[in-house]
Amino acid sequence: MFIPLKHVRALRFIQFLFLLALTVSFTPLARAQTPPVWDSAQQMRDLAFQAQSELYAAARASDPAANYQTAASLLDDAAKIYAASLQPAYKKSAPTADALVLDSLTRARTAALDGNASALAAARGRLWTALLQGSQTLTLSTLEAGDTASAAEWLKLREYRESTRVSAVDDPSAKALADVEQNQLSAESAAEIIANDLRDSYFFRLRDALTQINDAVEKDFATRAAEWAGQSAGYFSILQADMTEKLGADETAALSESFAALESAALNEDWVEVKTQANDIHAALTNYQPVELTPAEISKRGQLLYLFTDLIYVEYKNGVRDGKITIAIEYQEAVTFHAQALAVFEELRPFIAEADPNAAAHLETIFGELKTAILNYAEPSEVKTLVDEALGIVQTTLQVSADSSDTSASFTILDTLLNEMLNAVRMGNYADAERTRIEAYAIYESGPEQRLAHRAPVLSRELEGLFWEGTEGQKGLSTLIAEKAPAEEIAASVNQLNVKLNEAEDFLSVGMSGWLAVINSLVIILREGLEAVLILGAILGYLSATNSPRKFSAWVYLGAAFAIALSVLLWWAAQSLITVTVAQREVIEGVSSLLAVVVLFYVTNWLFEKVYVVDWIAYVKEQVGKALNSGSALALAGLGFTVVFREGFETVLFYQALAFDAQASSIWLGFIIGAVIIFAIAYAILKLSKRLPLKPFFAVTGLLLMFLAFNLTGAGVRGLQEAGLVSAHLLAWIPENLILMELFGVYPTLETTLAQILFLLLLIATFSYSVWRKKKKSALITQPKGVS
Amino acid sequence: MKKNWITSLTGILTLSLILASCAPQAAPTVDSASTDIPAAQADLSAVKAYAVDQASRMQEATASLRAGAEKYYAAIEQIKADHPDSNPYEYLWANHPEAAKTLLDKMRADWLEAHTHYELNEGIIAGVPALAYYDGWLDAGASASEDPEAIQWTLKLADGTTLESPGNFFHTLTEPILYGTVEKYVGLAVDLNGDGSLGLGEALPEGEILLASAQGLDIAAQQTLDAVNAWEPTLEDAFMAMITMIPTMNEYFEQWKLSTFVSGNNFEGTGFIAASRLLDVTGILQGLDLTYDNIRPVVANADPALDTQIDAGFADLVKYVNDLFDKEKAGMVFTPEEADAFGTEAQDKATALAALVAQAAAKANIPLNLEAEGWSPDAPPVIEVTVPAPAPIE
Repeated sequence: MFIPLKHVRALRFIQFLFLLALTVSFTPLARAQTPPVWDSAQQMRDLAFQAQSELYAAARASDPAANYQTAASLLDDAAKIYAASLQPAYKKSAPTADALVLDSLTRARTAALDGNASALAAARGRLWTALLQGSQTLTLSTLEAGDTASAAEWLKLREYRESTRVSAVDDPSAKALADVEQNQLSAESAAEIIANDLRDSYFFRLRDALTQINDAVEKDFATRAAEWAGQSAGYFSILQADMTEKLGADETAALSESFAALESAALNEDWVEVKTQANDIHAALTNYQPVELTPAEISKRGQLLYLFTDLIYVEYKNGVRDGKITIAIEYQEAVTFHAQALAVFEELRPFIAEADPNAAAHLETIFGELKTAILNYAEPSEVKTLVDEALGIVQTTLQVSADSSDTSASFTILDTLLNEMLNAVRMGNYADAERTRIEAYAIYESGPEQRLAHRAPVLSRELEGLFWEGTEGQKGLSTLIAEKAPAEEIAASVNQLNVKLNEAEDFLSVGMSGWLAVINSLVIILREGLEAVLILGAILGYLSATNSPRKFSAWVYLGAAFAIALSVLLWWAAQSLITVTVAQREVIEGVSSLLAVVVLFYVTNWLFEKVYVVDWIAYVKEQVGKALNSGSALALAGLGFTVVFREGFETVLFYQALAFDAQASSIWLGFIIGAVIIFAIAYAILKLSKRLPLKPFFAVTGLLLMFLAFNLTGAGVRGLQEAGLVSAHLLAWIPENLILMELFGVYPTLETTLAQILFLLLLIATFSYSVWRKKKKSALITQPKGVS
Repeated sequence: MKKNWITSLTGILTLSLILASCAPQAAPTVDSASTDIPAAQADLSAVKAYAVDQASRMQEATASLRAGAEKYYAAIEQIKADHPDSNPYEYLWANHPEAAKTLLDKMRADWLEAHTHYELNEGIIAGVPALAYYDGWLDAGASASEDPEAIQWTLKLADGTTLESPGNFFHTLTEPILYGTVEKYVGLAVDLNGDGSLGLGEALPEGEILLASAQGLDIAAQQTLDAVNAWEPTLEDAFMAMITMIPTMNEYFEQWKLSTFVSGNNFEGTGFIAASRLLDVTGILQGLDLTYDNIRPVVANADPALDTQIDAGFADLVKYVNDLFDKEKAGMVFTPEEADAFGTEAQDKATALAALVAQAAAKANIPLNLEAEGWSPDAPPVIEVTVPAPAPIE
């Protein structure tokens, strides 16, 4: 039958479309039937283990040959899965791993047929690690090619560090891939994270395998020893390239020979040789660091090591005397910090060794001697000697400064101390718990709080409340411990505190941009300086407006200058000569605030009397040509000193904290701008004050002074509460508001409230007395002469 | 001029006040987990129903065990009263061997029943902070002699003896008491199976400690049931249970390796003689598997592929342990090396599974605080014996 050409072409086109549709419709189905790579690998592993089980069963069987054959069949199944699911990708992109897998399958099969359980176990160890090696290669290569979906699939075939009841396994790799998909991270950065994570996990597994080998040898588990030997050789293969880069080709080649010798010795059940090789490998690996730590990370961990080591003695000296434990919780904390210091040391060991080859070994010896000393309740002086020696090594090799206010390390310490505190509560030792709480607060205030106070004052206030009397309806730890609250209630408070501490840690981990640093610096000088400038400016302006002799304002300037000098001197001394603890700092602030209240009270009354009772102009005229009497001089100088000193010391500390987060140039820029503004305000006030009516101006100034005194009354008592000198009872009905606290010194505690009420009562009393005196004086003046 | 100055000052002051008050506040909370995933929901009523059911059955068995212990104690006291010059345990065995054996067998069966139902619940109870205290008290806690931070509680015997923090009810008290693996808990070693020799577990328990422990176990079981009834499960509880309990496989297999089910009569421990540690493992896994089944929608919503992998992981681990347990129940006694191999394989599976579950929690925005302190009673419990009146055993 003749079919016209055009119809033929149409028919062929239709045929093509049909086949195309058929192919497309079946492809998803076909794809759906291919198991994920992790599933295929797990099936292979399970089949290999079943093969091993067959050889165990063969030891009991009357006809072991059947078991051997079954084992070989199972391995054949594993080989088929590999060929179908994984080999195409392995062969193409991970040929080394492909070769290892095929070799392992072959050796495993041979061992199964021979009934050689040890050889099969070693081959299984090699097989699994070869699969992991291939998946690592493919993860990174597909990521590099921009195929994140494939990379995520290959990444599912991996191992992790061992998790415990109290430490879940972290998975930065999965997060990195997710970030790449959301365009929040570059593929290159993600590859670095993934490579670090996988190397870290496999190095962990390698060290575990070496430990397990020794354990198996001790128990005479030949098959198990062989499996661990095979696995450890496999993990080494995964890490070999990185080791070559970090340890050098020669050393890595030597390691390769050691692993081969280890496996051979295990297969021959030469346990002496196994132990020798395992120990040699372990020693050779002590300087290998699988994860690339940035200098910043090394520095942070170095700070942590320094802090932990330092705290060993700090705690121990309070806990042991004359060979006996005096305060159990302090002793326990010393033990805890020793263990934590040791853990960080192990991580940093390669870097310490890099700086000084002998230092790492020496430091290890010191930690060992410390442990012995602590266990034997040695004298604190002995522990101090060892700690000082260790600190010196850490400082020298890791370039760590003695400043222990590194906040990331502080959060770790806080975690430890809060756990110790809870343990003390559970054992009914509330006194110990309180001691630990104060230590924890001291760590918080000397570190994170310094940076939080001006960057996140709301969060800072919440944390402070949780440490002390409470916040947002939640009682604070100080209150709960004082009430000897049940452990459950205190635990809930600690949980809340931990949530906020985590929030703070996350917040502080984010750096500060240049402009933000400028603004923060500007705000510090404005906030701290504005108050002083307004008040002093008003007083000086008033003195100038009333043509008071220069000596009046000179005393005020003198007091202010002395306060500035003392602030700087005290800060310098704290850095160089003495240790000002947080509690001592709080005492300084608290006492200086209350002293300021007294001086302000005195000055205001003095001014009020001179203006309203005596008459200021007359008083001023009287003082011309005379030296100011001591009371007046003290009043004016005291005014200048107290207004400035309290703000001055705090300003220095705030800038010190800001320096952790910001560049010096940004800080200086903000400071200069703020200082210019402050001086401009001061100048304007001085100029303005000459044009204002005296008594209303004085009234406003007096009100400002009293307002400041009211604020300082609350703040001063608060400082003493934070120093632990005054109790803190929560008054829940007083709102917890940052403005109330910062501007009015109103805190939700009984003690601060009572102090402020007392202040107001005194103020009313003295004001009333002055008014009464004024009226009495006026009455005497207006009474006609001769009238008695 | 005056106006200019006032204007200038007002402007400067206003600007300064604004700047001073505009101090950067705390940034919005940095949440390490993705904020793109919508809030996840799961119906955990089935998990609670399961936990209540198992706790109820456990308590029924402990009540029965308690009754048996009181009957045993009453019989011993009756013998002491009637025959003050005789060893009451020798008298009992000499004159009422069948009754004594029947009663002891019943108590052992009750113990196994109670323990089985606890193990089926352990994955939830031990993993949930609000309930974990009971795991320590009933099953996992060490005694004060082993651990300075052991759970504090007091057991007062009828004869005035006081035991401080003696450990957990199941494995440091009632099991060794019922199976005679601790010498001071033995009233009399007797040939229970009549083979002419005294083997492992062949002993009559000492009455005082048996009474106190059985009554205490029942009290603790009732309190556990009350706590489970009051518990309102959350997603956090579910994830916490899985992440804390899955890694415990290693500990359980370590104990299994040392138990009689692996090394036979070379057994050196005092516990896990009645029931294999594999029973614990299968029970825990059953509870955790049920828990995961009920939160799958949450995980699948966040990452379907991860949900598939976790589900497969659970299925694989459950099958693996069940197969092992079946072999053991069929009479297979594993060599220590075999147990080491099987245990390690299980641990590797568990480690991988725990990591996946932790990933799932992160993707589902479920915060985990593994260091959170769980519930504990206001004061350490004090268990005092209620002494039954003497009565003959038959």
